[in-house]
Amino acid sequence: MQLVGTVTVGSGGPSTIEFTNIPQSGKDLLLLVSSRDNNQRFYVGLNGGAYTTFSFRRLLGDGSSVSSGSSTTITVMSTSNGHTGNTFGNAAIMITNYTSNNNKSISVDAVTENNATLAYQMIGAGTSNATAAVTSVAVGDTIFEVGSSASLYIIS
Amino acid sequence: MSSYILISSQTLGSNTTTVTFNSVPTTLNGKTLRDLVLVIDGAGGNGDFYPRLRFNSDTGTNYHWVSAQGNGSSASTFTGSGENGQQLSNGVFFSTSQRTMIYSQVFDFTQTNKHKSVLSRANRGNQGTEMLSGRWASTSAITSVLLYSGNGNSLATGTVVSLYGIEG
Repeated sequence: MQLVGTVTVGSGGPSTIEFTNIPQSGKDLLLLVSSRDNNQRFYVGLNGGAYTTFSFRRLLGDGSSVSSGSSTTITVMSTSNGHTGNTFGNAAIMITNYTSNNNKSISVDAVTENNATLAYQMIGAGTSNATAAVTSVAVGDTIFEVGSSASLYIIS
Repeated sequence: MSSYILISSQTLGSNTTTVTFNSVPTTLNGKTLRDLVLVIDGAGGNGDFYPRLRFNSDTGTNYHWVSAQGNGSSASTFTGSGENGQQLSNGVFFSTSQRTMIYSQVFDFTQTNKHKSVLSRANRGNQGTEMLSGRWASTSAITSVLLYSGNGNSLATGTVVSLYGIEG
């Protein structure tokens, strides 16, 4: 397993964290994200494309109930910047056979933290509409708080 | 973080109902392996493929599981016990209509003082997502892994099946 890179958000946090020019030497990608943000969720994008080019199903628990939903975005729950200070959500996002010319399968496991009953646990299944090899991965459509980070690994 | 080390990867050249990994190593590249991770990314060849595992060719009724899944509109949970193969998913299958990805981690596969736990995640974007916890009621170290069809259907040509070891 090879670390491609790690991005840690400093002051004036960005709305997007992106890894570009991903080496095409592996089989799968694993993206680990520690996040706190203003939308309580972020999206995942591939190859600079729109966030809305996926089919996605999720199973979501919030500490008191469980539900399922769908979207055209890979929606990953994140700790809200309104929740307990210094707490961050954590997500593991796997993209398999990323160099292939097939639609890409994406698996999401994510939890959020909060010193209260309301905190989220989710699993999600995504499939990309596009078939091109993945050369860049982005997480965004939110404003990440200082200390949020993302690390991308190649599994080969 | 523990490292994934590729043991073997197969890209299916034709529709097939079984994939076997024999002589699973306990060390690789000078690293001791603690867990196994099986990643299956592909589609059904002639209908839905129900993925099952057998360890060490054990066909006894020694496999147990519980799962939770969401299909985009509702959440549900299921359980099974005393089966002759380890289910990797109970509601998210490999279909002919859209690619499916399952990754399954088998913990402490060389240990001889515990039953083997399996944590499986199944994903198909237009159908659902699932997490499944399984248990093979055996204290034997795992030396072989058989992926087979629970319903007789095949995996499609081009499906990629990879087995990783996790250092530990």
